[in-house]
Parts: sequence; C-alpha cells; structure tokens
Amino acid sequence: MMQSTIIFNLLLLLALPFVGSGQKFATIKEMYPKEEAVQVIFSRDLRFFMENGKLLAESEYQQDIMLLNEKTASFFSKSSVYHSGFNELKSLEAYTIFPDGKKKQPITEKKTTAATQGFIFYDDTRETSFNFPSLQPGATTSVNHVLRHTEPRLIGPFIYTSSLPALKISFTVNVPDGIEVDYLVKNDADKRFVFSQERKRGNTIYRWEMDQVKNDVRYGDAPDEYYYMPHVIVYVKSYQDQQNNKVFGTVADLYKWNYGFLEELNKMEDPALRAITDSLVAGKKSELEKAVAIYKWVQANIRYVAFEQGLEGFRPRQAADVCRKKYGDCKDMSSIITQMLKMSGIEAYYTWIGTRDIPYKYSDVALPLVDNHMISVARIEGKWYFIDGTASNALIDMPPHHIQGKEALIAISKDEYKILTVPVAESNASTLVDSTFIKLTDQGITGSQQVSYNGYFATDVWDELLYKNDRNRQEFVKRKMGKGSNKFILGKYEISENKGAGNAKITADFEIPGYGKKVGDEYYLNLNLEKVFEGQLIDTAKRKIPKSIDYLFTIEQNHILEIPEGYSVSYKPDDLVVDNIYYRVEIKYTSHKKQLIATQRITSKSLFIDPADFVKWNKDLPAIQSHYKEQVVLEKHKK
Amino acid sequence: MNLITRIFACIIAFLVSVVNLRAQEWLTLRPNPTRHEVSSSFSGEGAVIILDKRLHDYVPVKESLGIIVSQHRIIRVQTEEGVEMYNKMYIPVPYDGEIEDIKARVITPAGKVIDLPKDKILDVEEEGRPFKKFALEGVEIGSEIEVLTRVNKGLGFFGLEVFQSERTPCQRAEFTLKVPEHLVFEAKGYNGIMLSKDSVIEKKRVITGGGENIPVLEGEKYGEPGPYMAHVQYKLSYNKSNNEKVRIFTWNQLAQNVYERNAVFNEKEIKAIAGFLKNAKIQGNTTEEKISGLENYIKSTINFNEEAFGDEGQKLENIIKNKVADFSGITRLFAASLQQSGIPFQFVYPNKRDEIAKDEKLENYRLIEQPVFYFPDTKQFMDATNLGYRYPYLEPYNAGTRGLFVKTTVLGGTTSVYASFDTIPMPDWQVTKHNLEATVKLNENLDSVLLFSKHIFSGYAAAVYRSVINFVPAAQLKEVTDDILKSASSDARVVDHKLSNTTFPDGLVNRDLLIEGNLVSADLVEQAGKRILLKIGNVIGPQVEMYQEKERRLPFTIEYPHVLDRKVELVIPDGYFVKNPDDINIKLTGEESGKDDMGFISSYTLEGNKLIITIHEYYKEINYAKSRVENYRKVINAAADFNKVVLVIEKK
Repeated sequence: MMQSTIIFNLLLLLALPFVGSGQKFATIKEMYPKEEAVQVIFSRDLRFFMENGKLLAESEYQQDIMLLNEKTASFFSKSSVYHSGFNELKSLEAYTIFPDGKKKQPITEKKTTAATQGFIFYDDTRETSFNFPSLQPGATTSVNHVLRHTEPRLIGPFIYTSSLPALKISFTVNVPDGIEVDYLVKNDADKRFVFSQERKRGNTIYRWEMDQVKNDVRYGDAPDEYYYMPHVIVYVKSYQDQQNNKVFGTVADLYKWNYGFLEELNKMEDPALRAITDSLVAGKKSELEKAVAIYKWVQANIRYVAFEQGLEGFRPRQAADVCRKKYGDCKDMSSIITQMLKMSGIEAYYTWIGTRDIPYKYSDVALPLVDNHMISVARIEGKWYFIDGTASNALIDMPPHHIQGKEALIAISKDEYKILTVPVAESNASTLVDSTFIKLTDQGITGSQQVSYNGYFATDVWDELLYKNDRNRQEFVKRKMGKGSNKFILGKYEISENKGAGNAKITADFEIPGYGKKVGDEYYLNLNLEKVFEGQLIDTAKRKIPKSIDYLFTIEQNHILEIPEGYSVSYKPDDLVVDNIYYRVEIKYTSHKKQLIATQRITSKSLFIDPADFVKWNKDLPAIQSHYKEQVVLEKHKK
Repeated sequence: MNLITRIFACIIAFLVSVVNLRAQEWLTLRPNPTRHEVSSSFSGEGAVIILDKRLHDYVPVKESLGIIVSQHRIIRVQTEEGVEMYNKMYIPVPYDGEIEDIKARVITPAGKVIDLPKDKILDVEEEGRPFKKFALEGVEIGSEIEVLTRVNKGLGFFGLEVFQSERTPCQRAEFTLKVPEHLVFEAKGYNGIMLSKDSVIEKKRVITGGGENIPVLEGEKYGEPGPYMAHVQYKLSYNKSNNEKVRIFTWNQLAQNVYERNAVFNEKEIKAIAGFLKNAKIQGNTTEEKISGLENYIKSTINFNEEAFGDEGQKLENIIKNKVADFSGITRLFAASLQQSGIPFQFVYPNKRDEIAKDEKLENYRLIEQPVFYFPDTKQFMDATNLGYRYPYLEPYNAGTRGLFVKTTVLGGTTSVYASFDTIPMPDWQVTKHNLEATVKLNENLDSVLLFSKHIFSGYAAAVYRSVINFVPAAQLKEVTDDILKSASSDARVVDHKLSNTTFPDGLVNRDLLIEGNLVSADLVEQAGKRILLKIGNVIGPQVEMYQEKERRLPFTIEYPHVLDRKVELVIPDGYFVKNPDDINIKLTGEESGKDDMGFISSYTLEGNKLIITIHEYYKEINYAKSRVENYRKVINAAADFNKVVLVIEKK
C-alpha cells in the first residue's frame, strides 16, 4: 500500500513544471510526513579546463532544501559552505525561495572564519556562514557555490552524507578533449547510481544520478562513511599542453607525486640531532635496541602540533627543525624518526599510509586520497617495523591499531617504492586478565582485584594516564576497575605502568555494599560482576551499516568467591561455550576447595561486521545474555 | 597576626614594587631567567601558574582615554597534560582594541631560553572571535612558559578579572588599576583576592592587590564553582573634574539606558509591530494567555541566533521581515509586542546561580547580559531568549536568586525609570514533580516482566520534556519517549506508548505531562536455581549516586526543588511469595541534620497477591549548606540504593 503511494507521488514530482509550487509542497510533505526538511536537489557539476597552460577544475554545487515543519523551519536558518586554499570559494549565492515557488529573498551578510579541525593547530580551511531569511514551511533554502580546485590532483569524491532525505542527487563531470579522466564507483553493487555519458561540442559529459536517497542514522561504532555509502571518485589520468602530462593512474604515478615532497628533506646532517642520536644509541648492541631507544625518545619529546596550510600538509619538515621545536605532525615525526634511525645505521624509510578511516588500497585507488598519514618503516635484522611517531605509547613491534591491516607505501628511493601491509594484531596480542577475589559480608561483598593489561589494552591505559593529574587518577582507577554496581567503593590501589615490560597492571581493594543477597540461610550472588559481552545485540531491522571494532582482543575474568564457613554451593549455573567466526565466549564455574571460581573468557575474532552478517553476529547473544542473569546459591549446612 | 592580616601585609609588601612599575616595563623580560619554586601543594598538578600579573592602565589617547591592558604570565608545566595544555597559546583580541605586542619564551629545565619569533604568531578567527595564536617551541616537562601581552583597548569603565580556574592553580595573582587622578574608581576583590584602597602616585590613582595559592576549583556534583571563583571587579564612580559629589554609572542610570535601548521604538518599528501582531492573531482572554500566546508565536516563527550578523538582527522591521534575530533583537521584539498589546512588564537581570553575581553595592555593568521579563500583573517571569523554557518558567539558574529589576513610574505624563534589586522566586517544591505509577507482572514462564509505567511530570520537569517533545524531529520522537520508558530496563521492548498534555498551553496551566507505555523486559528477572530474583528497584530508573566522593569544596545547589512520588504495584505470581519484602523499607531525611527539607522514604503494603510500594522523595530547597554534606549524600544514595533492591520470589 504505502509503497505505491510513494511511487505515485514521485511520478507527480517528476511532472513538476506542470504543478503549482504549493502543490509541490503538499506532495513532498505527504511523501515525508515525519521529516523536518527534504533536500530537493543536491548536485555537483565538476568541470575540467586548461587555463594559461595549467590544468584546473571547478565544482558548482547546488543544494536546495525544502522545509516541511512549522516548529523547526526556523532552525534551518544558519547554513555554511567550506573551502580552503586547494578549493577556493569562487562564488556563493544563497536565498530563500518562498512557498509560492517564485519570490526569492537573498541572504544579506556572509561571514568567513577558520574551520580548522580539532587535532590540527593551523591550516587554511575556512567556513563561510550566513543566515537564510524568512523561513517557514514550504520555503526552500537554496545555495549555489563554486569551488575552484587549484590542485586537480586533490579533487574529492562525490558523496551524499546528509541525514536529510534527498529527492535527487546528481554528479556531472565535464571533460574537454585533450584531458583524459577516469572514474571509480564505490559501494554501489545494487547500481543505485544511474550513469550516462554523452558527447557535446568537444566535451565528454559523465553523469551519475540517484533518486530518493535516505541515509541511515550514524552509529558510534560504524566505520567511516566511505566504507559503505555509494560514491564516485573522478581523477585525471593525463592531459595535453605542450607535452603529454601524465597525472595519475598507477601507483608509480602517485609515488612520483608523493616523492616530490621528500626531495629536499634532511639533506644536511644536523649536529644537535646527531649528538642526541649518538647518546641514545651509545652502548646499545643490537639494531632493535637502538631503534627502540630512538622511538621512545621521539614519543616522549616530540609533541603533536600540526601546521597544515596548503602544501605544508604534504611536505615533511626537516628533522633538525622538529628536534629544535619539540613538536610536529605525523610527517615531521616520520622525518625525525627516519633520520635518527639512518644516523644510527639502521635501514629506514619515509612511508605513507592511510589510517583505517580510509577504505582504499593503493592497488585499488592510486590517488592522494588513499593515504592521510606518514610513518617511518625500518628493516631491522630482516624484519619490517612500522613506526608511528604520533602514537605516544605504541610499542615498536605493535603499531597503533588505527593503521593495522593497512598498506604502507615505503619510499625506498626516488625510483623505487615498496608496498607492505601492516599486520593485524591477533586476539592473543591484546589481553586483559582480571582476577578478583571476593568475600561475602553482611553488607555485601569485599574483595581485591588484580588486572593485567597487554597489547592495545596496555596502550589504552598508558594513553589515558598520560593526561591524568593526581586529582584524576583515583577516578580513572575507579572507572577501570568498577564492577558489580555503581556502589563499587574503591579502596587502596596501585598502578604499575611497566612500560618497559610492555604490560600494565592495576591492583585494588574494593567493597560493593548491597551486592549479592542474603535471605534466611542462603546467599544469592551473580558472579558475572562484569558482563563483558552485554548489549552487543544489533537491531537488524534498524541498522544497515557495518560495525567496526578497534582491535582483536582476549578478555579473561576470574571471579573467585570464598565460600564462608558452614556454607556450600547448592546451585551453580551450567557452563556455556559459544564459538562462531566473530567471537568465542566461555563462561565456566569450577569449585576448588573453599572457592567457587567463575571464569568468563571472551575472544574477538573479527574487526569488521557487514550488515549482511548481523544475523549471524546476533545468533549466540541471547544464550550469553541469559547466562549473565544466572546467580549462584550458597546454602548453610543443616545441623 | 591572624591569617588575613598576614595576607594583607604581604600584599602591601609587593604593592611597592608594583606601583613603581611603568607600563613600558611590562614588556621587558628578565635577563638570565631562572625557574621558580613551585608550592608543594601544587606538585601533583599538570601545570601551575607561577605568576598571573595584570595591569589596567588608563592613558590619554588622542583627545580621550584608552586602556592598556598588560598581562604577564609564567606557567610551569609539570606533566604531559601540562605541556599539552600550554604549548599552544590563544590570546583573544578584544572587539574594541588591538594587541600591541606579545612576547613569549620557554625556559627549559636545563636553563635554556627559547624566544618565540614574532613571525610565528598567527591571526585566526575561531567561532566568530579573533585570536592570536602560537605554538611554543622547545617545551618539555619542567619547562616554564612566560608570556607577556600588551593590548590597547577602547575606553570602558568596568572590569571583571577572574584569577581562578577549573584546571590550573595560580601561585600568585597580582592586579593593578591605574587611572588619571580625577577619576575615582571603586574596586573589590572577591573569594580571596585582597585590594588596597586607592592612593595617588605621580598624578595617577592606583589600586593594587592580589592573592596567593589560589587552588583549582572544579565543578562538583550539585556544586557550581562559578560564584566562588577568585576575582576582581571595578567600576568608575566619580569624575572629580566634573562633579565629585555625583556618583556616576549607578544602577538607576543603567536602568534608564536599558529602557531606552529596549523599550523605546521609532515610528517604522511601531508600524512593523502592528503588522506583526495582526498576523500573529494571538488569542487569549487572560493576560497569562496573551503572554503565552505571544511567546509561542515568537519562539516558533523567529529564528534565534546568538550572533546574527549586523543590523539584521537588531531592527524590528528587519527581524519581522527576515524572521532572524539576535538575542537583543528578540528582547526588543518582545518588549515592543508587549507594549502594543498593553501588557505591563519589567526587564530583570538575574544573578545566575552558577555565575559570578552582581554586587548590589558595586555597579559593574560588565555583569549585565540578557534580561528576562517580569509581569507585575501576574507576578510571573518569562525567559525571552531561551527556547527551552516557557512562561512562567525561567531557566532554573535564573530563578531562586536576586535580580536587578528595571522599573518605571509615570508622573505627570513623564515616565521615569529606576532600578531595584529584588528576589526572583523559585516555584515551590510541590510544583515540580516527576511521579511514577507502575505495575509489574511476571510472564507465564516467570522469565520476563510485563511492565506498565506512567511518568507524570509537572513544573520544571515537564518544561524540559515539553520543549524536547515539541522540537525534536517527529522521526525521533519515539526514541525520546522510549528512552524515558526504558529507564527501567534498557533492553526492554516498548509495546506501546502514549503521550498526553504535551502542548505549551498545557504547560501554562501546569497540566501534568504524561508519558506512559507497556514494556516487556527480560532484564529485570534473574534466576537463582528455583528462585526468581526480581530487580524491582530498576523500575524507578537509574539514580544519581554519591557513594564515593572527593573532598567536597562547594555547597550543594540543585536546579529546582522537586518531589518524586512513586507507586509500584507488583502482582505476585500464584503460588509464590516474596521472601524479603522488608528490603524495600528505606527512610532517610534531612532531619538528621536538623531540617526535613529533603528525604527518601520507601515502604510497602501487601494486599492479597499485590505488593504495593510507595516512595516519597523530595528536595524542598535549592541550596544546602556545606555542613550538611553527609546528610545530603545519604538521601541521594538512598534513592540509588533503592534502585538496587532485588526481591526474591519463591514457591510457597
């Protein structure tokens, strides 16, 4: 029923020129009764051209949003467009179209401010914002703006990420003869984009269109949008001026461009850096020991501060400058680490990599948008190490999880590069083992805990402790160790960072008044004080986007209950083991003399779960959930 | 010598050095600097402000005066957190002035001095404000960062300088105000800052002082640091070259300015308002209905934008045409509309309970922000610029406090305007309620719970939800109601739900807002062999807890007084009984510390197969003295304890 009405309405819409605008509003409102607003059109016309022998491009964006709700129409007043040195704002026109579809009222003032993202200290990203006047239901806000792409190698893909539904999105690319482009369409197995191509007066025009787009809500544990939303990447392969310029197409082309930023890097040896390096490696016998010393020094002494204006965003700074300033961004850290390693005779290279935010591989998309990060790669005693200077606490043999599984483009020399994949750390590399000893009291339970953290669990602990002052440390421990209920009272505790040994440990005494229950001659107690794998069920009806997990892990929880004198276990739940391709969960109860030990062991096996597999992911969860509700019962011996 | 005299003696001691300082010297850095001693009480901090020294110097500029604001800061960074906080600096550029000079340097633990090159200072505009920013080179743990700034500001006669923060302690704060001899300023230090009386030195009138070892003051649960921050306020009171007897910049004068700016309109505006009101077609018989109708119309048709640009947001004819206004534009729009509708009103500037209060004896216009409206006919208030609260509710921190009322009297046809401080009352505790009626039944298999719950809101509790319900996109409304209903069990399935009395007119007559629904929850039942454990406490939803707190520094203050009456009916399955009903009984009230102004009392009765639980929880006041900390915590925790009550249900 519903479906056919929508199709009928859509037909009406397609016949728009014949329908009055008032009617258009009514039709759209009927199609989207619960929406605040609808994107009537979202389009981008990308045009390549030659100017004074230089290849350039421009994108003209048109965004029209019709407001549907009386209460919230005025909330759409503030709007803005973003631009930067590589994407200069050439023109901007914005106005409100009144519900009659004819009368227009332009915006009166615009304001441009910096729009630098949080982790960057300074760049040239700008936001131009303005207010739409006279908003009301049926009115349409219309923005047309043109961005001039001063570096056509850095043209962004076409994607629609708004949470508003769109009646139509369209991407047109106009390419004059003499310029050769290619394109890639991603995440569109269902062929939702309608593609067409035509020739017009010496130009080739490519067009992708999609009707009725409605994006899913966002989820905190979802991967970046480019992993699942349909999008189109367009790039220039070659163009002709005096000569035939090759731009992109192969990894070799991309490498050539990237390498251009390294040509002047670290040509001179800096005596200060040499002195520091020498003192760090003095007495170290193996190359690995030397590399570890250098890496640790950079992690401890060079802070992350990023200046990324224009090509500053691509060109690493001289190691000597980074050393003097004591700060830098990822490229600068790659520069100083590589240089210091080389100084101490270790084979090391500047290396580009895309973090896990980026879905592509070099073989797949050989364009600058494949990477967003730089590290240093070293070969030590035949083994490759991926050394990320921005990760303050990463270990040399365990690169940070945001680059695991990603390809690294290693700059061997001007003409030689190598692509290696950063290994994914197995689930036994990151372990958390918790041993909690519990005693029953009249008020609840008391106990002592010992938790040891390895791999990424340890780095998480170190990262957090890095920014804790004395006042906040107790809170941190309480959050880490807290279990049972929010009545968890933390007693004496001790943190051992053990950075040298590669694991962290926290021990603590605690009490949880009111936990467990004593009724008559019996105690009831849920020994799953932490329901580690709770709340994992995915609402398959609602969620259509993938789930991403930071790293594989193993968690073992041992809750060891001391059985009071005169009591014995009268009920203990059955053991449970579930094992599938995503996780293994084991819950086991063992009696040992005067102790009852509840063990939970969870192993995660997959970093990425596709919506098609959610049913499989969910399958074993109810069994785990009902096990989590099981209590043990202790009964007093009858005399 | 008591503590105060000792502190004072110490201020006098450094006063001498401050006074002899000329403005130019502010930009001279010590040669061969060494690092400072850090007070042992601050050794665990990420960073310590060793010195924060500020000078406001009124100097001749052309034919008038200008202010040179100089600041000298020395910051010791002690941990990675400290480095991260201070290796990047932002210096705000005043809207009516310019930064004349910035000098910054780093003194490393090894004693190396690294100056900041001038070309590393960047100009940026972030979130609508211009800044100078720079990253300091060579900072490591143990370094001292020294920054000197000199700013030329436009002429102003009021000051507010805060020396305490929520993140870094300050070892020594110094403040000096220097003005031409003929100007008499009054200045006061608050919360630990001591100032001298003024004295004339070299034709300049000088007030100086400061404070030492000012700790970090962080927000606490039910504790607002704002009003307790160490700070200085000053204002100009007499101009001796004019008339040394007449006090200037009084509250009355402010009231007149406010009135002229916000309640006097030109012909064009009056005409525009007439048209606006005609379109609005506001209906209502009583004054209350008219006020509320006007408020709903304005708040739903005009877009509020705190920083709407230029004149757009100010002139009434533009506001009405473009439907966009900034905050002062909204205030004028309300004032004009009320005036034309014949509804008397007064502007009121509340002392927000979580911010620095206006000193009734020191007329500091710097603390004047947006006014709220007071209606003498109904004795009620309205927050014109707040979309979330509707007549008669002010944003809660604007109520239960003092405020400056702009009043008028008409004598012989002329309106005279004056100021008066008065109390802005907080609605009584019974007005705001969040009550609950719930029925709990077990399913046939006894492994899941059928829960009916009805949340009843009034007063402030309803005001918040009413705004949410009215403004949240329709597509998300179900999520909001589900969230409320599922407070009993996050894994529950909501079978059906119903909302009643959600409109703003319902709010006007304080009609109960109802959110009710049926839920199924497997989560509320756990198994212990043959017994069923029913987490009955969860039905009231998660409660704030204060089980383990750091040492308390602030008194308790809550948003609004309120009551929570709950009735939970448990249908006991046939053939079963509740083994531990007495676990339900909890009683904790403020009587423990002398006054029954807060409490949590839960009890039960058994009627056939029904166990009926009643809970009476109440907070009658907004402020509770620090001496009652323990008692207050116990009451808060009593509710959190109830939330953990588990009933054991067993076969008879």
